[in-house]
Amino acid sequence: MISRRRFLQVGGAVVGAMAAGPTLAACGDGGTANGGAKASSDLALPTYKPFEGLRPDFPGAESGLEPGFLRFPPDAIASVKAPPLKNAVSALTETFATPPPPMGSNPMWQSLNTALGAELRLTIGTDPGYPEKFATLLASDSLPDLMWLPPNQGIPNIGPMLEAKFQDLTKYLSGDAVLEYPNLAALKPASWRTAVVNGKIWGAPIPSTPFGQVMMGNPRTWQKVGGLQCSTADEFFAKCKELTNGTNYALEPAIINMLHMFGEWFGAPNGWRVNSDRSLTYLYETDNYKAAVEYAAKLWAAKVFYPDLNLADATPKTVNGQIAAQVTVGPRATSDFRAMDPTLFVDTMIPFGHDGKAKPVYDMGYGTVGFTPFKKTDEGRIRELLALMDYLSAPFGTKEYLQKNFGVEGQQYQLDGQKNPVLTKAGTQQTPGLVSALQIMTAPESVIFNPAFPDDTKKIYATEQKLLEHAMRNPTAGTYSDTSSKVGPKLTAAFRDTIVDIVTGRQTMDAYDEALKRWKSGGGDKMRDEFAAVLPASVPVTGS
Amino acid sequence: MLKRTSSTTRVKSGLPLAAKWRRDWQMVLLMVPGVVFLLVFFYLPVLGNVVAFQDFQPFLGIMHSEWNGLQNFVNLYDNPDFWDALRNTLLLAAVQLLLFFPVPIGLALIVDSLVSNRVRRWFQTIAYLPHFLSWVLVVTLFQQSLGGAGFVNNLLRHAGLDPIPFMTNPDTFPLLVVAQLVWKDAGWAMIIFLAALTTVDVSLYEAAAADGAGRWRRLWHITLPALRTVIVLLLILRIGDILSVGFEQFILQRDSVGPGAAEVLDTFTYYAGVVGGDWSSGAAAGLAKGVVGALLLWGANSLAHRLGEPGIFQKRGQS
Repeated sequence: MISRRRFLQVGGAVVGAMAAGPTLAACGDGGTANGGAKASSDLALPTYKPFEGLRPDFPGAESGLEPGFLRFPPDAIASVKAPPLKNAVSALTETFATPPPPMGSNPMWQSLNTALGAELRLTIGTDPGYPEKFATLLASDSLPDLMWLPPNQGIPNIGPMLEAKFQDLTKYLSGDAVLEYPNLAALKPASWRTAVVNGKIWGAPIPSTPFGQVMMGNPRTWQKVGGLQCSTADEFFAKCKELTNGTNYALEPAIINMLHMFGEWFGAPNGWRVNSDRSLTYLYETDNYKAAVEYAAKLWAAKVFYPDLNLADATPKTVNGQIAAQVTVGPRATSDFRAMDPTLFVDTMIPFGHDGKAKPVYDMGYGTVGFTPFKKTDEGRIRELLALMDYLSAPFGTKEYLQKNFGVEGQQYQLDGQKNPVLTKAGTQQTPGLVSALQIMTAPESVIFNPAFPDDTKKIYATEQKLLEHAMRNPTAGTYSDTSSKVGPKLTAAFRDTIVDIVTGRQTMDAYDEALKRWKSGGGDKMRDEFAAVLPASVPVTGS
Repeated sequence: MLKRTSSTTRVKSGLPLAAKWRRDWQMVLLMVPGVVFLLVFFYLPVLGNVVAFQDFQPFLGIMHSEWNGLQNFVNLYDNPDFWDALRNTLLLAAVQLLLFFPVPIGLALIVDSLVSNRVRRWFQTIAYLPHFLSWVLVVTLFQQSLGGAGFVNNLLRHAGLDPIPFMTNPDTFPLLVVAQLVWKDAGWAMIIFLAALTTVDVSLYEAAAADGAGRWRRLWHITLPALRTVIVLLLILRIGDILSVGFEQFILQRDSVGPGAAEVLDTFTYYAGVVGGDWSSGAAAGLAKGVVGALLLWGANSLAHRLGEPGIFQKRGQS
């Protein structure tokens, strides 16, 4: 328990799982391994046919802006004609909430089984530890029908692994073939790219918010110093000092995450910087990131970080004011604070230039949480599993979406005054762990929706628009490097160890260059070459 | 030597097999669960160490992964992190041996000298209890009392003093680790010494007391010699196991003091092998550790023989 948060920082897994950290470029999602680049460009992605009959209150946009809904559509539409399953299906997935009661004593799970037509037997891993579970299961050779494959937890050698053990689904999903599964056809081409490796489609992608980490602060705490928003790094520093006294602290002790925020203010790139000659410079190699590390060390020396590095979750302390600001998975995380204190709507920091003049960046996330490949099997079974994925990927506003996320009316949820589904007491017990496990392995395109607080949706939508002004995407997203897939996670972990040493004063800034040298010779330079060789022409130049 | 061994074997196996079986079958039966346990959970997994000589990929399995000879060991040799981990492990082991090992003996002597049975039982119970707490709880307890936001430092802050970084100072980390270990396990480790103490003939004390030996002389000339065999035995076991300084205790505190102070061989194996996906390097480090451990065990046992102690295993015909 105590180590959870720490693992998240070190391992680079993602809190809440809904967005990928920006420095996790090391996540081959496939596409070009072993000369597969050409094959991948020849591949016809599944035809995109958005879900009809639903009008959001705030429209989404190509930029990544998520559509917002103030209320749940009153007459949920059925998007699936018949229950998808005839035989039980087993699956490996992960939950980011407290694990749910087991199937036998979980009416929510049982009602889902009824709706699906057969039992959905989930093996639910917890965080951290999923890659270990995945790898050991893989080595045991008795695979479940479905295995969620995260893009950012450092599962190595994805290409050969898929070829060896999993089912090529190209002929069932490519082009118009996907139209047989309308909910899968409603997933965007950008999402599908995640599931393409070696020019083949290996599963249905799992879209998530395209936004990345943000800093959030309790407005009641920050009002003493004129609010959370700042225009220079010095101003932020002064505010932090002022907010730290007695047993109150300005910042949560998640150093790597905080450093990510500072990096944005200092103009550090999202993963890789694309220079004007189309060469690549990694985050760690930029002076911007180095400056951010120095800034973090200055804040640490000023003792504004909460002094217990093992703090598992800062959320309760932010709510009660003991910690002023923390880093969350993305702009929609305001609901985590609402869940603890319904009267609290936290502020989201909009990145600013460190000296008030420089251009800040906002790092967009990965956009999906990977895909779920199938164990090798026969055509009948493949069609059955695809129908299951189709059901579980039903978009917001459908009957299937309600069943998957809220259960059965009168049992797990009730409709409130505005006809929005709200979990009952039984629901809050049975659903979160299960829903988290289902959402991480299957998902429709994301929306902003806050059942009990429609106003929050409006505010989050506005925040997203502001963040998009500074948005930067990881230029290597959607491409693949063998070296990155194999040693990237290890190199990142080693470099981060040094950074944390520097920030906490255990090592001096001299250690930075030494660690960078090791990162480069250990595989960093090779990754650069591999990524540069497949850099898409559409990626814009982000540096000089 | 070979000759002697074979001759003693013949003398010892005087009984025919059937007769031996009739005499010992209950003993053998009692042993079966233990042997099966060792076989399944220790000896069979040992075979998995072959991945140390492979470029192991879990989806290919042991059968289909490529062999790469000693490459993993060469990589380890070139990896400064491995040497850091080894250095930390040895340092922590030495500190544990010096500061932890004597504590249970002292505790046992104290408990043994308590006259009131009631007080003695209370003391024992309290001393045993922490052993049953997991490391997560122990570290949390230390964190809550000595951590940066803990009880002691909050008191210091209220008194207007600077907090003391008990939990985050890498230089004093070995002491912190031993303090935790003593708190958790010294009471439990005392049991075996207490058991050994009960075998001391009370009449020896009476005779010594009658001859005018004081408390300390009795301790020195009767109690400690009686404990000597057990102490040496446990010392050898400890030395054989010395590279296993602990895992959870370190992984839980690794970020507080940094890997420079808290990375030990076991956490290195975990981070490089399981987390980093480089299973073969992890296995190579584990194997290297096992070999060193076995050598140490053999060395310590030989030394014990030279000093005239039985040690933990003997050549046939001895004892």
